[in-house]
Amino acid sequence: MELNDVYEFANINPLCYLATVEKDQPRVRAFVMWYAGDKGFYFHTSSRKEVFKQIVSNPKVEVCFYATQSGAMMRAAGKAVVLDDLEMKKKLLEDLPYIKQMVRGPDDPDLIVFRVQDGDARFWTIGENRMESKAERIRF
Amino acid sequence: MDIKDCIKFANENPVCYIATEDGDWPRVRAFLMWFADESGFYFHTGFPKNVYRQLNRNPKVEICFNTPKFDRMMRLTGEVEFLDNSDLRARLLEDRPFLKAFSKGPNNPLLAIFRISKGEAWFWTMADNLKEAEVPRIRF
Repeated sequence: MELNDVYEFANINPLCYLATVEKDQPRVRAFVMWYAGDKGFYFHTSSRKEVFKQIVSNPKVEVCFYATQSGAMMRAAGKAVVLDDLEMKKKLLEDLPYIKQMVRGPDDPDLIVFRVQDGDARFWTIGENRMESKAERIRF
Repeated sequence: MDIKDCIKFANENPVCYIATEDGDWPRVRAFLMWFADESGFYFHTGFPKNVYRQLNRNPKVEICFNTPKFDRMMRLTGEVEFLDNSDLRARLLEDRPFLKAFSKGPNNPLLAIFRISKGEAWFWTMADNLKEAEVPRIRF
């Protein structure tokens, strides 16, 4: 498995679960990833959401992707870095036009783009159950 | 909305994502909940697994349930309690015969059962977006 396989799996299965830690309380919610590739996994959220406050105080996250067809799972752990990049936010609103209903525009300070980067990903299938620590880790 | 709605929702949508804390890293993976009733939300895992080690160190979890259409989500927060009970393990092996491959029978402690019997849950739909703090929490 290579980094390309990691990004491809995420792009094919963008519906994922993103976990954060709030002090010692884990938190998890469903997310639609924007895209994966070029240094990591890209997401958007709102500055008014709890998840944003959580990644600012502890940027460590784990994201779990699941392929409904094959039953394969991929987990990617890394640091969430907020990207204050207007061009990128314009591209986001082009790619996902439904976000326009939630924000005033690409320069709306509530609109947050973040990338999960500098971490590792691993794949899992039921055949590999109980072999978690042996799973190959792919750096991203 | 009360705990009965939470139990029903979990039983109808048993595929869920459990977040744990590992050091200060969040961890998340898919789980197939065993069942839920008035006494709690029941799961099983194996002793050699990392999730078991994580839960022993910090029993706080958050679990995210979703409908297949992703139009309604339930997040449940609480502390797990391990149940060392051979009757319960025997019932689990009856309900899920595929676990026999991992287990030498109901007295085999490799089969770990845990439940969340106290905590809080809340429902979310797209209409509740950005209203996370206002959504009523259901204590159980």
